[in-house]
Amino acid sequence: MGMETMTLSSLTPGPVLGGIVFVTALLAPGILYRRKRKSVSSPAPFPRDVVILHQASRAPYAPSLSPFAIKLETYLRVAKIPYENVYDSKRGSKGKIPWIEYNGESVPDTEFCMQFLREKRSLDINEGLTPEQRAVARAFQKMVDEHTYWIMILFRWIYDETKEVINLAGWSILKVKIVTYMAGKQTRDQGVGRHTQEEVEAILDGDLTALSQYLGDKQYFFGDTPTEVDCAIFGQLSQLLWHLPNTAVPKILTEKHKNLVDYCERIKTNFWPDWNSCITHGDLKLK
Amino acid sequence: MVGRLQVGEGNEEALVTLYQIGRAPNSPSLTPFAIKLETYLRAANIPYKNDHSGKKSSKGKFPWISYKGKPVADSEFCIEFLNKERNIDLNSHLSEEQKGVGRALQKMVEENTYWVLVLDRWLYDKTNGVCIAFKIPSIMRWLPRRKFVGFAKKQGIGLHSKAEVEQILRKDVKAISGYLGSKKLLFGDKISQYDTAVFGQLAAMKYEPFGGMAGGVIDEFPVVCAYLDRIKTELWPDWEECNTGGGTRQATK
Repeated sequence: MGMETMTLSSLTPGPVLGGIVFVTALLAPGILYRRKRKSVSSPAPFPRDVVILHQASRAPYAPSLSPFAIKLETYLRVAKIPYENVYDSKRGSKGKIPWIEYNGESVPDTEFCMQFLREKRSLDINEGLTPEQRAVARAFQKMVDEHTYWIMILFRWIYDETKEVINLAGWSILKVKIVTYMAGKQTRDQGVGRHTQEEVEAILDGDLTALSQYLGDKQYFFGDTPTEVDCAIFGQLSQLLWHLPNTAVPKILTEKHKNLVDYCERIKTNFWPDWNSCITHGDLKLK
Repeated sequence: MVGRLQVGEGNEEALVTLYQIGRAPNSPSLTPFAIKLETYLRAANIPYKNDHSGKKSSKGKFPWISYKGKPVADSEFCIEFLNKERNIDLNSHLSEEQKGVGRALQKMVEENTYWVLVLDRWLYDKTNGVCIAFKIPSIMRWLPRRKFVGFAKKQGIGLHSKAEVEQILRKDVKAISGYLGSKKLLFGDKISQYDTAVFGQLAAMKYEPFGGMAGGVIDEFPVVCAYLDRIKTELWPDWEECNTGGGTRQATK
């Protein structure tokens, strides 16, 4: 039985053109998406000593779909640093959001932003922490931002088939498909995506248990006033608690880690009294 | 601190088989997760034998184990499995709060510090130490380099400059140093499961630095160096038999 071999000379123009159009259509969104990666200074003259916080638009049930944006904005509120939001898709110099501008300087990455502002404003909300507490803070911040975060991504993009929150945020079908594909690949490369959903739920519970155990019945992680790590933890927990409504996650929190739910409500009440005007409930006209 | 290697003793059927990727030039493995798992086996006094044949786990990674015919993938799942099978709890002396801290420290070193190691070995080290150790010919080195640096970029840390990555590492190691303080181990005088995880990641950097910058950063923290040396001495008295002498010989264990 002979097998036909495909040679260059056997290709007809029609299918070749069709193939080029198909591949371009596949690649174009990714290329256009990447071209947005440029930090451009905001054109409007902003007042001195006011942080310009660049982030995506407000989200359905929490102020952002990004735990990092909530972390940074919560920090600005806790540290009482005046700021203004710019809701755009301009990315910082590392190609990510959120990022800030301050008196003409732009800074990407939430940890670098907090370090920058600590220096520029000579204000350290971690002041008073012992070296051991600072070590614990660092460990928990890394756990939630570099580990728990990826579990949230898995739930949002892979496990939650309804994608209710994403749909309420008004994302196009194409964008959702692209990001779902990328999220699958990224979580697999990072590691957590290689596990079964049951295994991932157990791993998530391990992180939440650690947070719950350390918090205990304290108001915040290190006592009665919030520090930087509270902003990071709140950022990640806000997504788990409020932006995964059709998954097992909110139930894991409310049934097994009540003190974390109370903690989130406390931060919401104390530092986001305007919470309801910072969420859209799915109304795309609100920002 | 407990830790006597019992390879080959006792019932063969009750022996753990530890699948890993061969011994490294100056440390027991090129993967910190294998160092962690093997350190745990020693700390928990679990008899085991090594299999360096290169069989990957069901999740496509190393290390993994098989025990009484059952394969288990992922170093952390392996430890949980063996804890249950053999009724072991290296964390029994910890309070709930300490367990929380231990989990956070472990996740910090495995999900953050680890990526510094990846960048250090595959991007910053101009001596190509890890490529030589893996016997990757020069013309092929771009392939794993691109893969690992790509992973680091997707994870996030790969977007930073080398100076920024070095600072990130310094802060992680400073945290370990700050938490240790004057203690022998993370939670006092007895080894915990979390010590094996922290040892795995930092020992890989300290004892197998190749031509990168990570080993030098660890050396800035004498408390951490003493901690690593302490675990190495107690649980790896045969360290030199578990490496290839800088690539000059076969490991005997």
